[in-house]
Amino acid sequence: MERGTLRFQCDAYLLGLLDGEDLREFEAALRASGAEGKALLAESTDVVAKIGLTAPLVDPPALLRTRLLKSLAPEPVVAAPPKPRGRLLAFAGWAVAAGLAVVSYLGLQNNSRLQGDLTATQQELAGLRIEAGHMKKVLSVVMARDARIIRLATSVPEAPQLRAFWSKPTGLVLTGLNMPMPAAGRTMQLWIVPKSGNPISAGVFRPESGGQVLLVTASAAAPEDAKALAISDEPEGGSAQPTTTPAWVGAVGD
Amino acid sequence: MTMIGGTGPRPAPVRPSDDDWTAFVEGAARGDQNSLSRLYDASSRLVYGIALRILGDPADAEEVTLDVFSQVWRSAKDYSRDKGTVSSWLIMMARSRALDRARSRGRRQGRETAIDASVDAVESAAGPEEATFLRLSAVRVRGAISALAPEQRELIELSFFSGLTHTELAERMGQPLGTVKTRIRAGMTKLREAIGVSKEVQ
Repeated sequence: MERGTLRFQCDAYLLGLLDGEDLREFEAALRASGAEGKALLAESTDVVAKIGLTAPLVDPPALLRTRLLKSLAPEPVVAAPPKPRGRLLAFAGWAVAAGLAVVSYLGLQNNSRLQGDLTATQQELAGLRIEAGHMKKVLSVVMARDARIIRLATSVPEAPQLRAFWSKPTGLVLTGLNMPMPAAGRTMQLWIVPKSGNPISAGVFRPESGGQVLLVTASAAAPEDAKALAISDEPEGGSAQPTTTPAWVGAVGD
Repeated sequence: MTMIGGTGPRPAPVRPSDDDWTAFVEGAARGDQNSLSRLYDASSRLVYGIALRILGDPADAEEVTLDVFSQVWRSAKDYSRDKGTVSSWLIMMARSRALDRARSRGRRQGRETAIDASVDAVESAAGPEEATFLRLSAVRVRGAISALAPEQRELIELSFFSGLTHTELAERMGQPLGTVKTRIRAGMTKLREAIGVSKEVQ
């Protein structure tokens, strides 16, 4: 594919215009073009995104900012049930709080030196709060009464089976270990395959070191309306529709 | 570091460029909520505006906006400038999330109606923080888009805000598939030249 055509096809791909044979032909050409293709795709991203600037610039409601910031600092863990993970988080919170108290006391004696320590501790505390909130969401899905367990099988050699927990009111959790890392510039994307209609994106992810996967998402679809979950390899940032054959698929039972 | 709480005072107005937005993302990647707050203050009108145009529903647009900035917070460390500017990242994320939401609710027809109706949507007055960057970028791009032939402009905007494929656009517009492809390609080529991205090299 000549450079000018590949450039336009990058635009068309990012706009979601390609389907069928056009899409397959573009993907093959992009793979064959190597670094040049990646550069063209990045350039196209900046061009296509500019079209979004034609939308009116509209102030969101003021409370939305408050909701966002509150969501980043979840409520502290209280009355944790007697589970090892909950106790660990609670202990971590108390330990950091104790550390803050100590730092504050010493700050009276050497305020300038400890100011940096205090900042670092505050950041650590914020990180722990976020982690605690994340784990609370995971637990709320996994332990939900209506949670369905979906096993996603794969034909990828030596790749593991993944598991998903899906609860209508609380969300969708995908877990797994030893998952292979997608190539540079690529990402994994989880799809909900409805009983009718096109697949719906449920989020993009890259495994952590060691191949650990723990994706938590608030699914807009309901389990009873879905026939399967699938995971495909997609360009970084995700795709509007799957552009590669899903490597993992699991049926959603009743 | 100043921790920004939900009820705390808003930070002083800034006049960000895309470089500043990159710095905000880098700050967010280090876990600095103040950086995320400043990015939100500078760019939320853009994200919310795109979501509103695609979805046509303020409540849905709010959820998409929250989703986008939550995703920025979680994945800021993965952002890389060589894959596009921060504004491009935010715009494409807002578009993708809004289209996902529209599809998941089976609103394709409604969404297209919303797109048509939102052309006359009232834009909020600009805040000082965006006077030198976002506003000027928008004016420049809108000028470039408006200079396109009407049939090119209509197809390109419909494609961006509806997520329709070439085939679906041809059906919707009642035009031959080849005509749709040719018009979009010609329009995108003109748009590249107008906004200063390198000309198409054959």
